[in-house]
Amino acid sequence: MVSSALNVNIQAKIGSFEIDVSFALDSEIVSLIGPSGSGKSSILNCIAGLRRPDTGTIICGDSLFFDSEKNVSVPPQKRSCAYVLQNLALFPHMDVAQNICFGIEKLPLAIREKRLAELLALVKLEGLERRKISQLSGGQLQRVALARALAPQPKVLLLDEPFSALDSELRAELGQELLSLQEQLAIPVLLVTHSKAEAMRLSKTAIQLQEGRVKSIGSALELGKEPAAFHNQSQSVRFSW
Amino acid sequence: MNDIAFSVSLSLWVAAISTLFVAIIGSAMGYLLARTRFPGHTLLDALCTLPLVLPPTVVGFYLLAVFGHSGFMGQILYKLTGWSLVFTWQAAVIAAFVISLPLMVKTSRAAFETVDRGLESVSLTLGKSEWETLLKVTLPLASRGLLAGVALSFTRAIGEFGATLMLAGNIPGKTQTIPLLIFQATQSGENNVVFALVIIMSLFTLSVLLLINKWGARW
Repeated sequence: MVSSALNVNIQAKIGSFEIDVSFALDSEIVSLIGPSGSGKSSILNCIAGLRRPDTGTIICGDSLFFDSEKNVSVPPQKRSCAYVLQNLALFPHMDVAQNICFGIEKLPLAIREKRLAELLALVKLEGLERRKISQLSGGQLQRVALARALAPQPKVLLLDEPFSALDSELRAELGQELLSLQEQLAIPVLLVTHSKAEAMRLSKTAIQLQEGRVKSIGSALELGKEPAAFHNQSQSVRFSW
Repeated sequence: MNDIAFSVSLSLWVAAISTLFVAIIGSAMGYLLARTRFPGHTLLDALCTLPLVLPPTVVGFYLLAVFGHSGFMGQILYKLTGWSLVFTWQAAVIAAFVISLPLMVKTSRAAFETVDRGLESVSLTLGKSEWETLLKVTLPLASRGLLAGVALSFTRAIGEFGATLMLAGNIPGKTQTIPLLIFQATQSGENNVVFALVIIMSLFTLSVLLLINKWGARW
């Protein structure tokens, strides 16, 4: 088997619910798609090291994140996994610059400021570094969260429905930016979404989940050919909350 | 007048020391209750609330049973130091501590529970240790609630009467705090003393509560 940038093979029992998935991704955007409660967020938590799977392995490039047989479980601090949560989880008591630099506070000031300038340019937030989090628009919040996650130069980027709070226009715009960002960074990006349209637009490969298991792995374009029944189901789940 | 001056300074001193311990121990317990689940979690929660709803004299009775001359802790203390806690200002501190601890535990638990756990998760993935996460994320975001808890505990400690009477007694010039002096002065008809102290207590407590409301404004 060709070694991939991120290899995941995990089993985890969460209450009465069981996750049993195996997949791999290269330096590309792969979408993880499925209805609410299909285990998407739990899988991201396992990769980031916030939740410990019962068995399996997680390998990122040449570093072992988790191996139940070797009893290895690297803590989240040592995984270099960037994780953008659905609610973005920006620190409300810090300004934009403090949020972005949170993961690189230990770097020397000069390097930190250079990195901050780079990141602000990357996510198009120049001039907003002293803004409070409460003074930002939805799209700007999104960009701050992304810049903060990318600041420590992560090996993997995990995105948990990052665009769910945005209107469709902004969604499309930020999606395009994510595509070009991934090309520049060349790291694996795992994008959790329940929008098939988004998966098709942003990723070549889509992993479909159902009840904690992989239902299919394949070209994201195939999602468009699915029977309408599944489509309706995912739509209704989406608005259930 | 001397009695009043002594009572006011004793009350402030007792409340300050008790609140120092309440702030540290109470917020640690609030954090434990908010962020962890363990066997006995609900029992600990109930035990922490108990002094708030029990008559202070009942709490005082328990404290006497533990720290009194024949009590478990009282005997150990006496054997080790030859010193007896009962009827000292330190006893008033212990009474104030136990009575005001529930307010700190409750308030700090609520304060910690309002902090989004996602923020802590993100902090961990950004390379911060659990300790750094506590100091840089959790505590700053819970700080207003914690301050409110400290202020509430302090005012409660200053007004403590029943348990203090049981454990520290009512010795003028030694353990007579403001509430005890008010009681005694009422009994002996010293209306001027009562009036002065009632005004002092009311204004002080009111200003603390106003301060809490000011801190209560969210981010």
